[in-house]
Amino acid sequence: MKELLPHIEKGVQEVLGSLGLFLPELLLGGLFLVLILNDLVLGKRYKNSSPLIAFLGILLITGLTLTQFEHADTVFFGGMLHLTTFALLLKVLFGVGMLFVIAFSVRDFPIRHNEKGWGEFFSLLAAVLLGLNLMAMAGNLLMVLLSIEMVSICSYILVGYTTRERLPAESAMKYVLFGAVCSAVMLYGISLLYGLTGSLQLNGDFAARLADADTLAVGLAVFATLAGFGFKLSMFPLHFWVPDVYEGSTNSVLAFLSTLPKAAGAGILIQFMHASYGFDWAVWLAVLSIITMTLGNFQALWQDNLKRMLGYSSIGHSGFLLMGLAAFSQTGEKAVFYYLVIYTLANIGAFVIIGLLASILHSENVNSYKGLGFKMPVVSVCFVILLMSLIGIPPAGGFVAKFLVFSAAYEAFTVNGSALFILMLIAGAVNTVVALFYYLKIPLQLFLRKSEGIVVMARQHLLLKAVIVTLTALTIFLGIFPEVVMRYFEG
Amino acid sequence: MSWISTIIFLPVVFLVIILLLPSRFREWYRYITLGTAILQAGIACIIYLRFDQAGSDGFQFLEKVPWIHLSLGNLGRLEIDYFLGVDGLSAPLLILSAVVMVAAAISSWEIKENMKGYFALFLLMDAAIMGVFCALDFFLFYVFYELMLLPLYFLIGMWGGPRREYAALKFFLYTLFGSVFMLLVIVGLYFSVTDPVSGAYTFNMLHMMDAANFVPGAVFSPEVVQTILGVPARLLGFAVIFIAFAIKVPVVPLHTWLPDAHVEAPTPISIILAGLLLKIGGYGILRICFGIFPDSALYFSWFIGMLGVISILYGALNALAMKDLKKLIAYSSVSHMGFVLLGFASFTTEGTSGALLQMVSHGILSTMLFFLVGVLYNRVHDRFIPNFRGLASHMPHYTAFVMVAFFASLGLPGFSAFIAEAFTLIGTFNSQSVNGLLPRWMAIAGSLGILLSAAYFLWTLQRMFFGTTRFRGGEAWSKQLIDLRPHEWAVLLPMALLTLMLGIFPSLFFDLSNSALANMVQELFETGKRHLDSLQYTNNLRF
Repeated sequence: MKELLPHIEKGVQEVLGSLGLFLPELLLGGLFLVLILNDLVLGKRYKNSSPLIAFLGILLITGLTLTQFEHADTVFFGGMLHLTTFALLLKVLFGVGMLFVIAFSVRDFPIRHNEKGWGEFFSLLAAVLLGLNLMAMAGNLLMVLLSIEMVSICSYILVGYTTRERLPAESAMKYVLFGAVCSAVMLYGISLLYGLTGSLQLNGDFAARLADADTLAVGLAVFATLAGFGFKLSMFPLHFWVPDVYEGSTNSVLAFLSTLPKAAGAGILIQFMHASYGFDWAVWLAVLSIITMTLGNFQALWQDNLKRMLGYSSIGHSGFLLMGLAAFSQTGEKAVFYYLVIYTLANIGAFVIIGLLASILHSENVNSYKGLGFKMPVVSVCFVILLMSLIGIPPAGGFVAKFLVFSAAYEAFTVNGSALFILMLIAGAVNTVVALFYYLKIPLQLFLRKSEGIVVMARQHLLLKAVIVTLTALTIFLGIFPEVVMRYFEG
Repeated sequence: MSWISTIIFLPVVFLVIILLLPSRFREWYRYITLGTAILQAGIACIIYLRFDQAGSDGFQFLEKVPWIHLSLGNLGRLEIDYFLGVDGLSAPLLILSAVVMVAAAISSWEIKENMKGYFALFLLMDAAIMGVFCALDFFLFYVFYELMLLPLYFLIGMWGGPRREYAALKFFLYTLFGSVFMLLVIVGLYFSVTDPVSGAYTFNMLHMMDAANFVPGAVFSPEVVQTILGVPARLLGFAVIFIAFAIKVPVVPLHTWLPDAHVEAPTPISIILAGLLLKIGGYGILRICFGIFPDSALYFSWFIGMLGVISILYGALNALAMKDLKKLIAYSSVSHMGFVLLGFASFTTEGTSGALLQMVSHGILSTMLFFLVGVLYNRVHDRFIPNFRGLASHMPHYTAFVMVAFFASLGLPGFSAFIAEAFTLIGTFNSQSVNGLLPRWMAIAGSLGILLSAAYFLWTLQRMFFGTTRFRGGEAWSKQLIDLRPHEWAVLLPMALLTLMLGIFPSLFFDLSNSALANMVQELFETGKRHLDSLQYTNNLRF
């Protein structure tokens, strides 16, 4: 017993030392509790207190995260968490994205007028942000599982938050079933990995032992583990849940669901790739990238429901992200991060607009937007710019993002000379044209067609408009000055 | 004061003003736009006067500001600069753009709906077009090049004719299809070229044009044959960029967007499409395709010349069959732009100068032609050739300008197109003896194109303007078809004088471009030949 004491002391020392680095997450946990208590005490009288506390809390915590850059590349809690530059940047992205989601939710009709109240909704957003942060930093396979499950369970509840109607209930159910199976498969993969390496830490030793193991067994284990990340990334063949879940979800939930978990999935995949670099990632991810982007974009062609269209298009974007990941290089990671930033901004913006228009038109079908561009010029112009960013047309940020991803893939081609990368680049180019084809349906209806009926304009949605304009301005600004984001990678 | 930046960003400043002006001042929008265009034309005059004509082959009015500089880890740095400048190739086209913009701004008087949107988009496109001709950084070039697309999509799609949705989408898809693949080549080029001073990867087009800056062993390096998917990389890169610009020119068989877009677009946009956008294609082929891949250009020269001949003849034959006057002019554009390709492919100074003059001349003449169609269409909303007869006695001034435009276009001596086409054909004809690239029959086939253009223009003249006056719309049309109004004179007279001036004093143009072009063609041919000899492609495409 006595001889263990120094170890315990050392362990306690380390935990105490790590707490400083864990402060943002601790505060998020605190925010979660405060929001629940607030809902019980003040929430009934001051309805807006919940979102206000959530917004200010997350703003503060994101600011705190920004000060952590001096501690980049530390490992703490005994290797459970890795605070890499990439993880830090992702945490900032999650925080900023979440602020926009909260601002949107405040005016999202199904959330605001939910009979269950909306206090829990905002506490869930705080909880899911905690899960996302853990996902970005996970350095141990147990932490990987834990954080993914945390994000998944919160997401299930968020999707099902408005279950009075049939569609949300159905899509929440689908999401839960699909997610549960993916998690189970991932757990199986993790157990195989543990069996092969005798370690759960994602570090150099893990990679070395994995390299010694039998390739077939490693392949099986890695692919099974990939199921969990692929589900978050909506990567082929784990993308089937996307259109149905998107169609049934509330727009504010969707603004979150389509962006931040995807970014976290990319982050965790990068961590995992670093710890298993012996595996032939480049080839497999290139193949998955080609299939994912082609499937997503071609299926989006036939959609008239905007949520389904953006759902399929988000699968297409996953393909582009995988392209950057397949490069498996520093350039690739930078490109992926920039892509995630721009995609997050543009996609949240698009869903805010869809939500705003749905509250006026009571429809999410693209054909109901006829001639709306003349009635709501600011929103419509912003919508077009955000869509251009999603297609990748300058000067919106999407162009630089796509360019950086192409560069990364091309660089990988010059390194390994695999023709697969050229095929992937060609697929990327073809998919860009396909994406133009379906995204253009929206400006076509907004501006080129004349409205048929009379649209009753509801009262002004100043907050939503402010969110939309801010997101659009950010998209263009980052497109012209990408260094604002990229300089964090320097040095 | 940096003139080039001013000419590019002036429209953006006024665009913001238009967006901020409330719509009760909507009458002002067109004056603001016209004022912008006139200011730009003034700056273009300054550039023309200050351009050092005698001088060097180098670029003038240079501006260079670092823009995006990213570290790429172990691969060095990525350098994108805001880098502008003009030389004897781009200066005439920049000046042409400013002139055509004034005509388009005047002709925008016909726009009555959603004026704020129209003029804002118009100015955005204006800025992008100016930028394309001045950008010397490939990334910047691409940004301007793509920036044109969206305004044009809306300008065609919102203010166009009955089939505008189809035409706008087709235009957008065609161009994006070409340019996305061009982006892949740009990425490849940038990984192949380094700045000789800083050693970083660069998008600087001037560095890309110098074979010494290519990284040894890079994919597009001219030293050794590298292959992509089994195809020699430089040939593939050339072909991809060539197709992107050939869609813009347009070259048969990639031309099918043009008749739709030009016919459906409102008059001012047709003017810009025909007068400027097609020139961007020609400019891109000479500056980028030939400039960066001279060896591939030599390798494919027979093929490019052939495409030029096909465009000339196919466009002319189609024009002969058209009943819609606007479509006829659209196809005549295809035919006339074929000469540009033929002149470039000849790799002779005469041919290239002729081709460049053909671009300038066609810019002026197509502005006139589309404007003249617009005059007719605005009065009676019809432009079918069989529906008009004997317009000459009914609208004598109008007919006079039509005759000027038609005769100038068909290559009557004294007008710019004559000099342009003659030089192009001389260059093509000499090519066989000078450098052996193009066979003589291509020049002969080209002159056949001139004959055909005389046929369709004169036949149209005879059908619509001569004979007894008879209109399909009867008395009502006779009342509506009044002769030219003052603002129409304001467009047509300067344009007519310009084409006449360039026809009589072509040195006004040749002085500007000749020294640069002569050097350029010589250098392209020599470096191209050298690389081609060292590369030793297995099969030769020359027939």
